[in-house]
Amino acid sequence: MKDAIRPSGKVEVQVIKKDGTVINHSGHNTIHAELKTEMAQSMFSAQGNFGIANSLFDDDTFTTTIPDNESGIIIKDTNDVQYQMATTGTDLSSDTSFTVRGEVRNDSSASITIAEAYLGHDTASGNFGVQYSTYDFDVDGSGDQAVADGDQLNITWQITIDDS
Amino acid sequence: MEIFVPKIPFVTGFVQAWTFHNEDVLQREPKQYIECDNEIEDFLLESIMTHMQSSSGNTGYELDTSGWATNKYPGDTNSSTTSGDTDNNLKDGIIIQVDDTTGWVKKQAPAEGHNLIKDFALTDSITAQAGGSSNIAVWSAQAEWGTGTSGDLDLGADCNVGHFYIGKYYHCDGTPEEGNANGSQKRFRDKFANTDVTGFTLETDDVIKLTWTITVG
Repeated sequence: MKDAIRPSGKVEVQVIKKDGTVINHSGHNTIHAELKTEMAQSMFSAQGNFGIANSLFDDDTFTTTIPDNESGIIIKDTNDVQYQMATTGTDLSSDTSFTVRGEVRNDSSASITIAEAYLGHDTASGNFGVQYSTYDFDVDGSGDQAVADGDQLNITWQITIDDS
Repeated sequence: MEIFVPKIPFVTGFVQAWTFHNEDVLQREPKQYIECDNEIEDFLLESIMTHMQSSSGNTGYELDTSGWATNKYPGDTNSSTTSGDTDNNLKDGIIIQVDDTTGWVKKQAPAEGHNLIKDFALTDSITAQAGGSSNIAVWSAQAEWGTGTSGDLDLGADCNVGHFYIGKYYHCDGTPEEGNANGSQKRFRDKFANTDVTGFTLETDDVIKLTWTITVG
């Protein structure tokens, strides 16, 4: 018996170092209460759009500018500075899952250490109107992720609803 | 090898059902009470996921109270020679399947006879709202299993309950559900959830009340 809808999230992190070395790690995310609320309320009353494909971020230069009314992946460093990731939908057509991919390159002279990532819908003043989920880079015990000058950080974020 | 351990917020559903004597207007002394798990339907899963992938537009799959069935018994086709729809055609809500005939529709080909309907719709005290927390959706409704007639059918006799259904756009038109050549009725086009029920009965003039809870947890 399918007695549960199980939306879950997994995150794959890839760092392509300047010298070509590739670092991969991955782990689970934490689904945010705002998404649970939207999902529940949409079952008994019409809700406004909370889709992830609502005007995705498009800047991959490690900018701290978080534009309003956009969606996708935001990363935050160990000093609580936020950066947008150029976000694309790599699979937005499945009945039970979707995948978005974030990409950012560090062309500054400084290394930036990323502690967390957020997936959400419709920004306002640097916050999502509906936050989907959060990923802690140290969730697998590998520590926060340093992204040095010349490195590229890729994040692949999959949200799935299973029936078992 | 990568091992993913997803953090899972899951949506669970359960159904509570009571029966009361129709003179117990304050519903203080239930004659019966059961609590069931349910089976979430693919329609609900896929509708939520489709919206999460969208770029614009409001949600449109909600089961609110605006289109709820108004006929306890679905009625019958007006025409005796062609297939047709019931009086609850395209209505929403909670349906109880019983082992007593509550309506009928002609099959597509007149020579094939009728499809008998054994559905009882909950039409009173309807609510659709958040539960004790914003991540909980709750629907509630009730109706009296009273005596009546529909054409030649005598309705409201003591019966057994077999199944609960919740969804939108009730549609029993004499054709079987796609993929079921044995003639199961389509019931809801937009199916939310359902559950088997055993050992639960309705006596004439009982009031049955259902509360259907789906939690995103």
